[in-house]
Amino acid sequence: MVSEEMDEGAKQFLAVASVQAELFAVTHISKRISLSAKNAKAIAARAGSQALGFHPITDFIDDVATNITLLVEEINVDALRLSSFAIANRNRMKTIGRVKDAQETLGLRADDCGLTNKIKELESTKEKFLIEYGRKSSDVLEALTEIRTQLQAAEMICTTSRTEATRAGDFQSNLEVVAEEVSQAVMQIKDVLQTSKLHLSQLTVRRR
Amino acid sequence: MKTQKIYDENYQWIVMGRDPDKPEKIIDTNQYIIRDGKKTMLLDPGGIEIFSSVLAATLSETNIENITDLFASHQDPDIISSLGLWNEIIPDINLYGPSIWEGFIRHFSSGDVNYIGIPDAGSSMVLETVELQFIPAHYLHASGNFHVYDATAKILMSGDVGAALESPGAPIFVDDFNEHKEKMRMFHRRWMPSNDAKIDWIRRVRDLDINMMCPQHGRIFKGDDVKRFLDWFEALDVGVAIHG
Ligand SMILES: [Fe+2]
Ligand SMILES: [Fe+2]
Repeated sequence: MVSEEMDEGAKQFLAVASVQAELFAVTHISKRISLSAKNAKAIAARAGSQALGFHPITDFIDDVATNITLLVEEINVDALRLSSFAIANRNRMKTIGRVKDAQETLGLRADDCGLTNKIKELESTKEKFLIEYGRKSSDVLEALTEIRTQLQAAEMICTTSRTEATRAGDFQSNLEVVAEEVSQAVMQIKDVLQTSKLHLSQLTVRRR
Repeated sequence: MKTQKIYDENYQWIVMGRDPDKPEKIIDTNQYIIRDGKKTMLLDPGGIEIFSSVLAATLSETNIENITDLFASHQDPDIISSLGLWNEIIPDINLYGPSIWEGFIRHFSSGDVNYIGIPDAGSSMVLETVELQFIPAHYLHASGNFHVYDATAKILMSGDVGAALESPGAPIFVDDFNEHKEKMRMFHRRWMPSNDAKIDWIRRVRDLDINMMCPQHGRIFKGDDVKRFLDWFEALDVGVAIHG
């Protein structure tokens, strides 16, 4: 009984920790996107008038990378809160388990000495807490979706940049490489987000 | 867990220990309760692993709303690692403990326990009627360390001083001091770091009127055995690990 509850608490904590680790990976990738964008800008500058159409594109990619980094920072604040929630919840579950052991030892005396009521109190605190926890994890889920919107924009711009690259003459292949780098990075972030969402949605399901 | 009243007048001292449910590898501890009307203090309430047994034993003597205070002689896990659990079930509980250990002991809880720091020189408090004195016992063995003295019941709760490593199910009281002292020798020689601290403590404790000296491990000393312990401890060389 106790170990089952402990497991649930531990899983919550692990899930949040996994999300945090994955978000950390996202910041790395978005830094790489930003670097690719700056690289493309430099190439476009050398390409001169041939790559004029490339300037606004690189600026846009850079903006997308910055936006993703900012969003991840925001989510990290929420995820940190979520993780201390998960630890507190795990502690509370352990406490309830141990208090129930005492209740068993005490038998009928547990009602008279106030322990049975105390357990009810602890359990209702736990319930309230889980509702709050669920709310917080949906906030994080929402923020993850917001990143996805940013990624869709980045994908579109990758397609456009490939078209623009064809007009860049000698610099075509250079710019194509950059576009490819960005589009791969976007794919990677998508993968990471998918896993994060999976972790979080498992938590939300478990709550019910 | 076994409980036994060791003082039973207008208020009670109760010892709890010899827990048969205790995991084998953790050291056996004595916990003490002072039940004084609607207030109850637990002295050195013990570690996480024995919390359930201590809680059940305490609640066989008092109601949960009457558990008001905890005392920690020092910062060791066998003394107070259960703090987080007590604090969770009784959020307004007070913990009396050495001032210098406050920031350390708080690690055993979520950090927000009502900690009443005992200054190095010691202090006192009144539970409901009984006055309890916190007697300095620094470096015996922790650098910030207190014992609890009740002048009415003439009881000194002496933390790790007087501790003995016993087999499970040993009696509560010392019955043969000569035999008992061998069970205390290694513990005191190795865990107690300072002969100076020891001599200073003995000098002060000899001025107290003591019927019972109650350690956190092992057996309780009664009557003349208290004096026998002080003499034995005085002659014992402690802090031996420094000699290699
Ligand atoms: Fe100790
Ligand atoms: Fe101890």
